[in-house]
Amino acid sequence: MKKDVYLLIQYSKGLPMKKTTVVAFVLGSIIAVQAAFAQSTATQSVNLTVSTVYKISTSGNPAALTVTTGTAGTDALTSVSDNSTTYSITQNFGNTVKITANLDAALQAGYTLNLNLASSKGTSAGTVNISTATSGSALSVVTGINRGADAGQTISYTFSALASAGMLTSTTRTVTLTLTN
Amino acid sequence: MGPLNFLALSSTLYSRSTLGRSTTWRKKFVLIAFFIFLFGLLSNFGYSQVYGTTTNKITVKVQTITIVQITGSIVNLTVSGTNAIAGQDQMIATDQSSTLLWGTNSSLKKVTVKTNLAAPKYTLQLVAVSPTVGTAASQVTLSTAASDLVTNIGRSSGSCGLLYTAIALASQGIGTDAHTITFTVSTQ
Amino acid sequence: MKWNLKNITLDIVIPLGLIGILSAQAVYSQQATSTQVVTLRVVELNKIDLVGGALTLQISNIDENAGQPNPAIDASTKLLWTSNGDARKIAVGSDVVSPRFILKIEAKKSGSGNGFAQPEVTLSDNSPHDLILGVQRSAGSCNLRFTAVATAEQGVGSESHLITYTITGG
Repeated sequence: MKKDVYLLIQYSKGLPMKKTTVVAFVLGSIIAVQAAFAQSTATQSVNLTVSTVYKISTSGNPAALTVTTGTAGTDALTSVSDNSTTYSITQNFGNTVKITANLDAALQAGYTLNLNLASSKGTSAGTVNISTATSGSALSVVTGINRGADAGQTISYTFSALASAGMLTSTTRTVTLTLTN
Repeated sequence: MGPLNFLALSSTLYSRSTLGRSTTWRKKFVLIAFFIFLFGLLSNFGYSQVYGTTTNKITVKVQTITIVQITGSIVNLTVSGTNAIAGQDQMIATDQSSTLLWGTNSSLKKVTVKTNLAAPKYTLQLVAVSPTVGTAASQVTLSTAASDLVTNIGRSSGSCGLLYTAIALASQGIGTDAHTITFTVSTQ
Repeated sequence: MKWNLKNITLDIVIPLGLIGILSAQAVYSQQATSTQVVTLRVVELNKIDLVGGALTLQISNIDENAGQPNPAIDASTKLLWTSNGDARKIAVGSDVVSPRFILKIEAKKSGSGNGFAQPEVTLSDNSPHDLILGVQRSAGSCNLRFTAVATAEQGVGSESHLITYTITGG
């Protein structure tokens, strides 16, 4: 391109004014066009941010826990259990995350609800009595959960009652599992 | 003889002519003279007198022209709780707000893409969406090595959407990666 | 607003500080929850059981002064019960409609559990007789004292009873 421009300039020196003007215009156009079509690359900034993530889900509600039998002479009736539900978690915050559990309302004296959460990412507290754990007094059921995900871990409920507590018509409690640090 | 001298001569001839005495023939003579004059006048313009000639050689050269640009200069991808599923380590966020535009007059061209980050914490993938010209390559995981984005884009101007996919593992924790993505039209 | 130290502190510095503290709290108290609904129920149940198997009351000696056979007594049997119902009682009955010899039974309350033992009951027919009243929401136990009585006039013989203990409403 540079040789062409040089020759063009040399050529224009010998021309009358009008033709010199035309050559100058053409020369300028060629230079301008070369500058405009020289971009074969383009760049773009892409910022990827990962913010704190806490996710917990459960597979549904356990089956009804109904105490139906006991042993003569023993106040503690035969407890019943359910292991049919699971929970899954995902967190990227740190290695001190835990799961707490509480009821929406405490159980009456003489009735006991125990909870056991299995875990492969943290340390299970084993069987925890959550009968009187309400929102202000949630109990840890899994501690020291490492970053990452834990899927399909078993939730075990055990319900027991004393004969001295009397009968209990069908009642519900909402169990809240909280993934927190 | 110039046109004025011709008119003067025509006028003298007319006045002295025995044929010009009648009205009809006067009119005809005037008409004929006028056309002869007109012809002569036009001849002067249509066929200008040539006093000399010269030539000028013009060479037109069209070089390879390539242009590529992006609409939407900055993309911000955020992986948050809305992208996560409990029990899954992998979390994904996507963005398709940008468009890649290109133009080239050369055949056998392609668009490649790369990032400046040699060791990103998270995975960033890109795929061209619905290119108007050419063939979209498979989704690529961006690295410092150029990867094909769109192929067979010779002699065309075209565009495509840019679908970014960010993949982060919960086990990787929180953080940021700042990429500068470079798109290049190069020879295929 | 006058730009003095007091106004700057009250109107700018403190609010900004509060915003910063609240924002930090928001970032570091992140959590997620999931809930389950647990349905609980305890039906009425009444359990009663005996400790001790079949027994034989042998009348084999005589009270020389009275001139009548001495009664045979056994208190080795224990009765256990559990009930979460209200206002229950334990009744006892024999399957012998017209016993030849006399058989009595009495509950000797022991251990825990509420309930009131009734006076000694004579199983003279096959109808139920109250043994313990006021049983409710409890588990209890008692010893059972059996007394077999026969007169010389009734002669010699053997009689078998099938004794049934029942927790019923009452």
